Amino acid sequence: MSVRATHLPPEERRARVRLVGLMCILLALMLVSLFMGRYPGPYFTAPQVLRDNPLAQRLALNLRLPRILAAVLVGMVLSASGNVLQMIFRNPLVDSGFLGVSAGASFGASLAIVALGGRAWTVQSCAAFFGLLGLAASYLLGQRIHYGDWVLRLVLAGIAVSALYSSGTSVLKYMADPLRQLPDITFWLLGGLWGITWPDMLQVLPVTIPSLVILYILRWRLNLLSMRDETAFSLGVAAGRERFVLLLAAVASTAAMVSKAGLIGWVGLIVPHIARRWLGSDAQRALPGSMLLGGVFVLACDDVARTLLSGEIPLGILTSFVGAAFFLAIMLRQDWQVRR
Amino acid sequence: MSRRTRVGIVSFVLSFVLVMVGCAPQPAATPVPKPTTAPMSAPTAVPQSEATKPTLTVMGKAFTLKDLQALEQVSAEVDGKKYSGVSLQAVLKAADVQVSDIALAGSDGYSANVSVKDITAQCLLAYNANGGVDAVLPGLKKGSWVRDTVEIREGKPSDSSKSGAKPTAEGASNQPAGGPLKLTDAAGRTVDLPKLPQRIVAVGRGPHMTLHLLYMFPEGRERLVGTEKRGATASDFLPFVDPEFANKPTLDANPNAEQVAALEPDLVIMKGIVADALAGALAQADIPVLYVNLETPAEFFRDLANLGAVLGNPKRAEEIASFYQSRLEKLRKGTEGLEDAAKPSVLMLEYSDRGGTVAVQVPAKVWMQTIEVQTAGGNPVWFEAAEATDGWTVVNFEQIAKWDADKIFVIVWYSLDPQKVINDLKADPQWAVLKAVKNGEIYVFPQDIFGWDQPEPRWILGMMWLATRLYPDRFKDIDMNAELMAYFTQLYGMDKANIETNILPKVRMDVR
Repeated sequence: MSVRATHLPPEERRARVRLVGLMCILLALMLVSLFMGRYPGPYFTAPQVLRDNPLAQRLALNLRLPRILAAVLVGMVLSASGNVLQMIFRNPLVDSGFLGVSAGASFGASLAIVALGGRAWTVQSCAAFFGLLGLAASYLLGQRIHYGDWVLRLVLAGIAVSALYSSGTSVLKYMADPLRQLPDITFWLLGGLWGITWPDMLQVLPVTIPSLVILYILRWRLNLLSMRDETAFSLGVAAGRERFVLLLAAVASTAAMVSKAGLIGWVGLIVPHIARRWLGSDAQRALPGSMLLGGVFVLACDDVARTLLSGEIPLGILTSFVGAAFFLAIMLRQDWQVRR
Repeated sequence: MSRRTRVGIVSFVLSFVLVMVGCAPQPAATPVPKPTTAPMSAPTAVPQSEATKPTLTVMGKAFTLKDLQALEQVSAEVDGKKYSGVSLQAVLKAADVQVSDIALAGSDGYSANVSVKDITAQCLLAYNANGGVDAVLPGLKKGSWVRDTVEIREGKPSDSSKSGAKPTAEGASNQPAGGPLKLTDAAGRTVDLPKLPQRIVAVGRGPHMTLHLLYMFPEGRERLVGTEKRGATASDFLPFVDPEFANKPTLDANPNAEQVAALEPDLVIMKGIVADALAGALAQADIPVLYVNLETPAEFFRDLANLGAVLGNPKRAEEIASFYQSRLEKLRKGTEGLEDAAKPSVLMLEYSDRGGTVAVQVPAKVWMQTIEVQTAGGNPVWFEAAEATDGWTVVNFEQIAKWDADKIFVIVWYSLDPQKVINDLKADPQWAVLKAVKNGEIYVFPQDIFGWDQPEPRWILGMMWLATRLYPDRFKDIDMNAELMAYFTQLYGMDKANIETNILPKVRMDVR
């Protein structure tokens, strides 16, 4: 960034401090998470145990570490794409779960598992394709509905498209080979990170990292794209193309992550709201804030999921519960106003 | 378009290329069991997709139906009946069999020894209606004509094979006790164990089915260090077998690898035919996994032999196997010579009203319920309509009326009162017109604490009971009460008082 820190307005400086603070929290939480687990005793593994016990070492390096990274990545991707969707559609009530992206991605992945052999890259590209298709369908449908305002129309269209995809997924589940394919699909729809190992982790990196980088680089354009097309055009923005690139990056990374972690709800809706509330609605700061906060949120939920009981708690249940409860709480506060 | 946008697009395209290059050589997301090329001693009955499904394994070499059809075809006539199929000599030659004695094993777990020098050019494997092969051995005793032969392996020298039938558990018993073990499990994986496991954990779906087999071994009770809760407890039956069971640690549902590792197992036993993500994650922690499946008698005998090997007690595995084999042999003798046309048509239904909706459904073709009916000498009318590999198929009354089976057996969902279900069915004017209902040939399938139709060790009780109901005359000598006693005393070592107080009151054998 070319502006020197000394010239920053106070609001900006505060936001920067908060971003750095969030970053530190995330890194600290990642480090702490490495010591959290069920082996040898519940909740916490002492560092000397990790040094002396070879099994604890293996568990920490081969299971906990990829899982921690995956959780952070899931949180970052879902929150960032939620933020992007909310700004581009000028609609504070959308995320990938509401616009047919998640339902489309799960349909695509199920289709790949049932009809295309279920290889990792077919599952991911199929999930991305149908996720994007779901988004496009929701958007076009939303434009054609002739009543209600834009927020309502888009959400309605998204619900309809998601329902269509869900019925398609049910048909595929019905057709699937119950021994080999059905467990895959079911796992997919439940969501969770308990099966993540290094190879799974490495498979999603080629899509998610470039997508996150693109979103980060182009985040300042989001402010312009959230205006009406005419306004944006007059400011020198080729709205259609840029919007497409941003959407593609958001949807592809979501689909890639969803293809490994399953459907994890509410992250993409709630985290951007909190980030904007904290850091202001300027995407320059809100988007990185969403990413960091999303990483912290999902990682914390996943730590609970894997350490609280002696069996795994499905991650999607935790994120939905915490996310929805939080959402209600901030909506009921007097000073709350929707920002986008 | 701005320069930044262009950079964005270019890097995005590049990243997609990266994905294609990076992901293409990755292994498939779902590991599919490879066609078995297992060591000789490992029995193989791993269900595969139709195209690659081996019909027959000879000395560890897999043959599909197509492979068999490519070999020399012969036909033979015995007692006026014509058989045609592949020459057994040609099959043995193709598999390069050098041994002097072979054992033929059927899908129901039955096996018979044959001396290779007795096999003439007339001996053949006849293709049957199920897509398998039946052994037809003119000149040899009928006891060695193994129906639905799935495997040919090295047999015992002929002088010790007078009985004809040998427990299949012998396969893994050749392994040295205590030493390193190499097994092929139900998922077709090779399991290497450097030494006998001392801390065993049983998790995954249906852990009670595995546990009920494990608890037939004294070592199994000792070495089990934990299991997984499904519902209220892992099993309502095992506390009666061994009160210590209640003190075994139980994990909550769906434990992950680390939660399993916390029990410090040196072997994890799971049920299934496909290795799942948990096995992959456990492999990262160097914890070996043995899969069992238990869904058919053949799988039961293989899994039993594997358990005998990992528990270091193959002798007990043989004892258990011979308990089952002697009863299978009795059923085989009792139904010998029955023409298909003379067999009663049988309909086995599961009746449930989960969530208030009544569903009537029939089991899959390869499921234990279907095999129980076939082995007991019944003709399962639902066979054509059933799922090929897994799952119940819901049927409506029109279909049931069309089948109009001679005998109907109703498996009643455990939360329902079986007597009420059967009374309601009989009172239903639709059901009253059915042949079986008119003749009083509608029964509740028996259960004690667990159902006898399930793919858990009780299947042998279900099979015997079915035989007595299908052919009361042929199986007059089977006394089910004595069988029950034998089952719980010989297999679980329970005493009479224990069985009488804890098991017998829960047995529902004659609800009709």
